[in-house]
Amino acid sequence: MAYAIITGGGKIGYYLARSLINNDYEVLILEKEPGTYRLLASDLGDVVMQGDGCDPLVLKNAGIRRADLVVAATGDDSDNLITCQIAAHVFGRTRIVARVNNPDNEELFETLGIKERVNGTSAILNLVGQKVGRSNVLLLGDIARSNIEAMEVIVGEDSPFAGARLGEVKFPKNTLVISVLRNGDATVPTADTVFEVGDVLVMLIPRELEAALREFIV
Amino acid sequence: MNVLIVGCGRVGARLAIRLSRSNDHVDVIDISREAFVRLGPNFDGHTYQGSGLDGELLCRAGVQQADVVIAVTGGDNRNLTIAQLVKHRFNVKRSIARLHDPVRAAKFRELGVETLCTTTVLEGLLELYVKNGEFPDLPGEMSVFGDDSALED
Repeated sequence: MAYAIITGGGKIGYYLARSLINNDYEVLILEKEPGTYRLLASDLGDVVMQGDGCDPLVLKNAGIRRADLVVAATGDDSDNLITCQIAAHVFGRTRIVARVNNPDNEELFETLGIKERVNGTSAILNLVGQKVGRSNVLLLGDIARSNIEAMEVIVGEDSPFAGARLGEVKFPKNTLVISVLRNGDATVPTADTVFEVGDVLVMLIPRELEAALREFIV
Repeated sequence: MNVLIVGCGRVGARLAIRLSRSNDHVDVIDISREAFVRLGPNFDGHTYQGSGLDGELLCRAGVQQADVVIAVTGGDNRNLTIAQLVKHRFNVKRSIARLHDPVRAAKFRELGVETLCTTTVLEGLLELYVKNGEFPDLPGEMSVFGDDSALED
């Protein structure tokens, strides 16, 4: 049974723990605040341990050496960064995921080798940007351990795709349209698929081409 | 020397006063404006209220011109993060992090962060004091018996 340690028993830590347990993980949440710890323990029992997930001794006692997955999920980016660095460099863990709360900190995590990150704030900002109609291009998320991201593109009236055949559209190189959503149905497009206004395209694209794609569409 | 101190608690404030007395230019960042009271009325550096993890604030505080950044906030993790941030993002040549946890201090030193550990210093001094009843001579103005000069008018 795979073993996962989660630091931080907030909403994200809690729901992640439940989801991992349902997927047959052995899970331990480290939560340092006594109040939050008691609340969690009354719900999840032995799955929760009171302790500071940034403290190497606490992590050692939590059995981090046999952990298959470490998720730093507190609301504090400093705490999450240090937990990840300790997990990697002190305990040699390789599957480490960081919750990044402030988008500005992404770069520092990347520089320091924390490659797998979840940034709720960026995701929400991106979704809100879409809802308020600023953009026809929406970043759905990164494909883990790759340089590929998934994008959603709405075919607007001024879109260069409207009325065009997929085979004729000159997308940036290595861009792949994996699905076309039309009237609630998803289809896998062929070179002969003709895009209509209102279509939603789900695309895979190398991260460095995201800007080129946005420019291409606008 | 241009020094940027992040954290204006007792250590940060006293260090700022000391360094600015010896002709270094010292600026100080703290999350709370009230903390700057500790610098006293004669401090001649600039103070910046905000988070030491905020890139914009660090820029305004002249991090790019700093010869050394000293992270002495109340949190070990914050100090480690600030020390690494200024080095990697702003190419500051030297950054020092004050830590309470000896394990983190040792391990992050291995990773190239200049850490200093208050716990191991104090435990060493206490052992000497308990065994010998006195301290060895300390260099400069260092004192282990406190300092009430802040009360003077």
